[in-house]
Amino acid sequence: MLQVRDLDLHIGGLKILNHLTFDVPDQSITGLIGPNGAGKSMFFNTLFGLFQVNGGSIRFNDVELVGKKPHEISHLGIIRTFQDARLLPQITVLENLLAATRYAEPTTLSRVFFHKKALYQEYLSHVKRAQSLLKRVGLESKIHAMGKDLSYGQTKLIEILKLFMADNQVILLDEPFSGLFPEMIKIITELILELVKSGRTIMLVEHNMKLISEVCNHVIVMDAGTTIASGTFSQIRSKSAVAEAYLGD
Amino acid sequence: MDYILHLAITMSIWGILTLSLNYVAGFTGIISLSHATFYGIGAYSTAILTVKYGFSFLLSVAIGMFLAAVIAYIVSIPLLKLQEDAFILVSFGFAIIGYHVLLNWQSITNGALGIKGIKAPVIFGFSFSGKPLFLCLVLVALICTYFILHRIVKSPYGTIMKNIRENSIVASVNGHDVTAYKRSVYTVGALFAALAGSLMATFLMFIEPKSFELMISVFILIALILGGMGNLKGSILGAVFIILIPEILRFVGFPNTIIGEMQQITYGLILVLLMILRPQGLLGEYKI
Repeated sequence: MLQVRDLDLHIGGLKILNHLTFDVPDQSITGLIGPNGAGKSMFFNTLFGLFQVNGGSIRFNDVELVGKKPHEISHLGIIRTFQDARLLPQITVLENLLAATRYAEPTTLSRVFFHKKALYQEYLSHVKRAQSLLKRVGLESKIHAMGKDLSYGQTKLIEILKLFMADNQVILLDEPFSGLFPEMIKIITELILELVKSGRTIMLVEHNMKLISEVCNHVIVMDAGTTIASGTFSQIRSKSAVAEAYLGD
Repeated sequence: MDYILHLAITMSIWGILTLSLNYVAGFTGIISLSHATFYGIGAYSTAILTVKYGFSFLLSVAIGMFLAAVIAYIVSIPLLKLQEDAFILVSFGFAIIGYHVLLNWQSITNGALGIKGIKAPVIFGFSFSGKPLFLCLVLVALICTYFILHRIVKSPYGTIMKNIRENSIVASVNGHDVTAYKRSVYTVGALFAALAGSLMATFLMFIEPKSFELMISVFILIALILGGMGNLKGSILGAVFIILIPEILRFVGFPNTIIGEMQQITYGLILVLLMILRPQGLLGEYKI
C-alpha cells in the first residue's frame, strides 16, 4: 500500500503540493486526474526524491520514501515513466531495455572481471526477455535501432516494455497515452492491464476520461496540489464540483 | 626510422590517454578538462620516485596510478555533485590548480626546471632503453588498457554508464546509483591517465609542468572528439591524428617561429569543422 499524508511542496513561495493525502490500493490501477498544473507530475517527481518536500510523508509498505534518493526508491520496487517519453536517444533499443533491468547482485567492476560468467548468463536471460517482449509488440526488427530513430508511438511502447524488464511492484505512469493513435492506445492498454494482472500496482496520470473510466479501479482527483475527491470513477463523477471542473459533465 | 618510432610511441601513449578520457567522457558523459592533471600525477610520481628515491619502474607506476586514483576519488566528491556545465568549469579550475602545484611545489617537483635524468624502464632486470623495445612496452600497455576498458564498456556495467550519459535522472529512476557510478568511472579514468603519464616520463626522460597544463587537457579532448566519443577504436585514431597534425604542419613549411600557434589554430579549426560537419567524430557513436 502506498500512503501519502499531508505532503507539502513549496517552490518559490508557490504551494505545488498542499497537504496532499490519499491511499493507493495494492494491485489496482489508480487514476490521478486533475487540470494542468494540479501537481500530478510534480507528485511523481516528489515521490522519486527529485524535490525536497516541506512536510508530510509518503510510505510504501511501511517504509518512508521522503528523504530517500531516486535509486533507493527504485530499489524498494517503484518505477515511473515520464510525460515526455524519455527513451535514451544515443543507445540502442536493446540497451534501453537492458538499462531498466535489475541484476541479482549489484553490477560492480569486480563482478565484471571476477564473476564474468554469472553476470553474462544473467545478461543473456535479460536479452532473451527483451527480444521476446519486442517480438510480442512487433518491434523485433528495431532491437538494434537507436532510441532517437524510433517514432513517437514506438518510443511510448518501449517505455512500457521497460516496465516489464524492470519488474517493479509499483508503477507510476505519466500520460502514457498522450499523442497516440487509437491502435497504439489499445496495445498499451492491454500491456498495462497485464502488468496489473501479474500483481503490480499502477498509478496513472491521464487526461482522457474515457480511458480512466475503462481501466481504473480507483480515481484520485487533484486540484491546486491537494486531493479534492477519491473513489471509483462513478463515485467521483457524481460529485458535482468534480464533474463540472474536470469531466465536462 | 628513429623518427617513425618516436611518433609511434607518442601516438601509443596518447592512445592510452585518449582511451581513458573516452571512458569518462565518451561513455559516461563526464566532460572533464582536468585529465592532464592525472596524466601529470602519473608522470611526476614515476619521475620523483625513480630519480630521487630509486624506486623501481613498476612500483613507481603502481604508486602513480594509485595516487591519481585516490586524488580523483577525493576530488570527485565535490565535483560530481555539480551539473554538466558547472562540472566542466570546475574541472577547468582543478586543472589550473594541478598545474600550479607542479610549478610551485619546488621542493618536490623542481618547479619550472622540471625533472631530468629519468631512466628508461627496467622490468624484472630487462631494460627497455631502445626505442623499438620501448614501443613494445607501450603497445602492451595500450593493448591492456584497450581490453580492460573494452570489457567494462561491453558489459552490463557499460550499459549503465551509457544510460547515465544519456539521462542521469532516468538512470537513477532505473535504480542505478548515478553518483557512485560516476565516481568509479572518474577514478578509473584517472588511473589510466596516470599510466600514460608514467610512460611518457620514462620515454622523454624529462618532464616539466608545461607538459601537463590546461591546453593538454584540451588537446586530449580534441583527440577524443576527433576520433569519436563512445568508440574505443576512435580514441586510438584520434590520438594518431592529434600527433600527426603538427608533424604534417612541419612539412607544410611554416616558419618555426609560428609553428606552435599554427598547430593550435589548426586544432581549433578541426574542432569547429567537426562540430558542424561530423559532431560524432570519425568513428563516434555519441554526439555531444
